[in-house]
Amino acid sequence: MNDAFMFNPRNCYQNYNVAVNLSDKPIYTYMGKLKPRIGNANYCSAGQLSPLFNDPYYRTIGVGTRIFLCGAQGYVAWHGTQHSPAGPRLENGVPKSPAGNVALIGNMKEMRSRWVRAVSFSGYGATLSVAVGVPIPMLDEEMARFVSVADADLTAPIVDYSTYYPTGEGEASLGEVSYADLKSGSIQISGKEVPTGSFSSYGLARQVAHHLKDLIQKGDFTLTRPQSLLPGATRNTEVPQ
Amino acid sequence: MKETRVVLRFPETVVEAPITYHLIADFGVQVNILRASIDPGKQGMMVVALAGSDGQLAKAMDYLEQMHVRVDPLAEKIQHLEDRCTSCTSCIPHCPTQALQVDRETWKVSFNPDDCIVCLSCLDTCIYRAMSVVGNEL
Repeated sequence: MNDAFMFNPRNCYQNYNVAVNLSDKPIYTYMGKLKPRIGNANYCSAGQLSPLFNDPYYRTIGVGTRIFLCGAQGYVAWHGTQHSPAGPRLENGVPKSPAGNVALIGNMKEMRSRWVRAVSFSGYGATLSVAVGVPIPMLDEEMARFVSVADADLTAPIVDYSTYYPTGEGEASLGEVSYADLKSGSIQISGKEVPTGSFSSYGLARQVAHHLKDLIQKGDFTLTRPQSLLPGATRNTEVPQ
Repeated sequence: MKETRVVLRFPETVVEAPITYHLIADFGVQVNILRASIDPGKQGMMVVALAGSDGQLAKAMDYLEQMHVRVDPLAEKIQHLEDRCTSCTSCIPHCPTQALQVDRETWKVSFNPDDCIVCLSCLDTCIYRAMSVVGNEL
């Protein structure tokens, strides 16, 4: 085979829903199996290690940014499908609900099975789980502040996947919860303690970050300037001059 | 006190007999029901942990034989395929006995078979198919 390349039209979602099930029956979704009567709460972001949480206004991540993709060196090709930067944000600039995302491209021949996995969501469908690392250059004080964001400073909306998500009826959000709370193993929803599960491996996210750092330090990975910026958001913070 | 995990199969002729009651009341055996089902063909199946002295357990087994209940050792085991596991933690809320746990410092998921009751909940919740069952089919 001469060429095999991967093009992912939507990766690295900048924040996402915490999925729960208010109904009396278990449901099988792209957010996993959700037990009835809010029996579990599933989330899917690495939180403080998720790339777009660390560059909330897309100053350094844009078209042409070189990235680590499943063991290969790939690129941000475009903004991803349903990239929606305009939603409400916290004071630190990070969005409070699903916002930006990116389309990624990379050479499959350079990829390694350690960093790309086949997955199957029972009762829903099959997809791939991919390891992505995005280097963020420390351009100035503002970038230093952005990348210092911690799980306690990031929140996600709790969404009912039995009624609201498929039909748009009922409450849009059952509350907001921080990634620090999600990663503690349980959260409180309407006075009930609910166990949490993640679809993003924080352990592997850490490994990707360390691996990319090593590549950069050895000179095997060089940073690129974005050739074009992603569709952006109106800032609610001042840019230092 | 000894504990043994067995699969009980109830033929159609005894599905209406209160066999679990007799195990407890007549023989003093502790019965912990791990899984139970009755199929449309009117056969019953239970996976139980039986606990008691050697004498109590022996009498209980004699009684089950007399009632034509088939007793098989629980040979099913759950395996954690670590090369497939990414330690994402999506299985954790589904494990009723905390046999699956995550260390929240290292973010590594571990599986302790001694705590597993082979309920099979983890099988279809793991999107990487890192949990598998080996042994006799029930």
